[in-house]
Amino acid sequence: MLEDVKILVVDDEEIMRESLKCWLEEDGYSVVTAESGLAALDMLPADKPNLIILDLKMPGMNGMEALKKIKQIDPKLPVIMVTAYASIETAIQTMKEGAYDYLIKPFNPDETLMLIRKIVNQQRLLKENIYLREKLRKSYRFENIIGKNHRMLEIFEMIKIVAPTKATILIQGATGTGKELIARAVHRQSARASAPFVAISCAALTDTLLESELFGYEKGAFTDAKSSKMGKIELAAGGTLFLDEIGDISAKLQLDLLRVLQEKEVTRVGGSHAKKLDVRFIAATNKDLGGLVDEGKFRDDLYYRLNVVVLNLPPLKERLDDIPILAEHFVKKSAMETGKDVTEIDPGVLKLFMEYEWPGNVRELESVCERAVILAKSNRITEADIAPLILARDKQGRFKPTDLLSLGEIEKRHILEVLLRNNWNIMKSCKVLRINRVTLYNKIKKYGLEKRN
Amino acid sequence: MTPGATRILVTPLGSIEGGLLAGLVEGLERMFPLRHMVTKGMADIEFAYDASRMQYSAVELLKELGSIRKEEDAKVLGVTEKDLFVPILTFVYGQAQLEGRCAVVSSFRLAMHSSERILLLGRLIKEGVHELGHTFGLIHCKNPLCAMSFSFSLSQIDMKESFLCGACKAVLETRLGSSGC
Repeated sequence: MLEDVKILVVDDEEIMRESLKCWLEEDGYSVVTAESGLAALDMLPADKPNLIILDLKMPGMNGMEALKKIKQIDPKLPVIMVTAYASIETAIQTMKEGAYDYLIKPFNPDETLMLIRKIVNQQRLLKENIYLREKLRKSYRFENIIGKNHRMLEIFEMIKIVAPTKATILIQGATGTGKELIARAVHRQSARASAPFVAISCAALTDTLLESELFGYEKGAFTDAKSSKMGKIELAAGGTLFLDEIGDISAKLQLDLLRVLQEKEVTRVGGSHAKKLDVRFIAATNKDLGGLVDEGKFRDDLYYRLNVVVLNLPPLKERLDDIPILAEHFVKKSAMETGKDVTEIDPGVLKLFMEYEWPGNVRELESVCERAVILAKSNRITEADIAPLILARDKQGRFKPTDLLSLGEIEKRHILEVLLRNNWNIMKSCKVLRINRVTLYNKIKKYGLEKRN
Repeated sequence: MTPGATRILVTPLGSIEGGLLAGLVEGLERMFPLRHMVTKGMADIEFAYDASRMQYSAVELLKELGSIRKEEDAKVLGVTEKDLFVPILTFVYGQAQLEGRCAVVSSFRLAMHSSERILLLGRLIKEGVHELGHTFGLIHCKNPLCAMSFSFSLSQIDMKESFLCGACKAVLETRLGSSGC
């Protein structure tokens, strides 16, 4: 029944320990006892109790000291303090130190059992909650992509269908929407998963450099070609080549790429013979490729070659329901990387996240979360931690809430914005706000504004 | 349990109405298939009285019951009209040694808020079965109708039955079988 729940009873009086032990055992709990705070601390690692009932008044280490040590070892372990009438004040003090509740000796049997049962049930719910959240988190994951938004789920389904085929895929989406992650997911879901995934950003290189990077070159092909070099297309043999920012390539390269796609062979720069290759092409762009075709800036024949399967990634502001799970994931990831014990995000922060425009999409959210973890003063990310990050990053230089705000909130945000823009120079900020120093200091104090490095 | 110990001894602790005791034994016999016997008991239980709490110590009474138990007594149930306590609790309706030999039950609080004798007897049987159940190793049951469910008020005692639920009964039968009773 309750055999899996272990209670540690800590009391210096044997009669109290034993009578409580007997009584709790009748309710099916497994009970261990300790005669002092020190003995209890020694027992924690091996006995791993689910609950501690701790007497406040004991010789040597008293209950309060023991409680502090217990909370240092395991902050989440519930502790019920036991006290006599005379020390109720102290018992209340212990609750500020993290005790769950206190009981007055002698206990009222019904209150005591109800309290213990409540704690045990809460512990169970907590465990269940952690388990379910973890399960849910896993179900929101597709490869390395997190998303529960219906458009993302449709994309995941589409990937599952097209990944095993040889079809060329065109991924369209704004900067930071995760185009490369999608391309990698397609690769991993395909039979090519064990072969190389080669990525190249077409926008980052000059035309000539991109050509030699893609096709490789033979020795002597140009002045600096002192030896032959394999191109990315060859390197991707048997695997996948991801061509990012395909909309930025020159007309010549468009033609060269078209040939590769049509003939399924590649000729190195300066080379004379073509090499047959089995490569799957995935192209991505943040531009309207169809529009570029209409404008005559992109070859229509290449466009149709690439346009076999199109995956359109929504911007983050169109997948609001993904923001909390993405934020949680990035905070957890960043906390692990930085070694900081940041585990929670204030609901107010998530509200701000939902209202923000996210011009940089998921990449920007990741960056904000990373910085918030670094700035966080406790194990929670608060509004104060993120306000400077997203306020400063809005394109228009101001916060754009979707909800109507109170005058106070607008004043708070405006003052913060002015301070940020003036690098927290009080005199300059006063001048802009047309208020005196005392008033500004009072407002800073009132709104809890803090200067961050 | 000692082989050959086939009797449940019901013993009054201090004065208790004879009819109540007989009714209790009748109720217990329906649940525990052992020979039940009422002894003369202890007339004076003042040794267990705690003046500071103005109650009688269930722990002290259990110790004393242990000393009067004979070889043939599988279990001993003391019955008193006095208010019982254990050091850590304000009061108890009864107390038992879990998987032990002795139990004690009090009619003091069971008689509160009612002068109906039949109601008091019913409550006493339920608590008697409950405490004896503990001596057979039964723990509190989640079924609110089972006699082994924990009752912290008279209304809860009144709600439960004077017998064990199927699950607890099965455990009891296993214990009785393995003990050779």
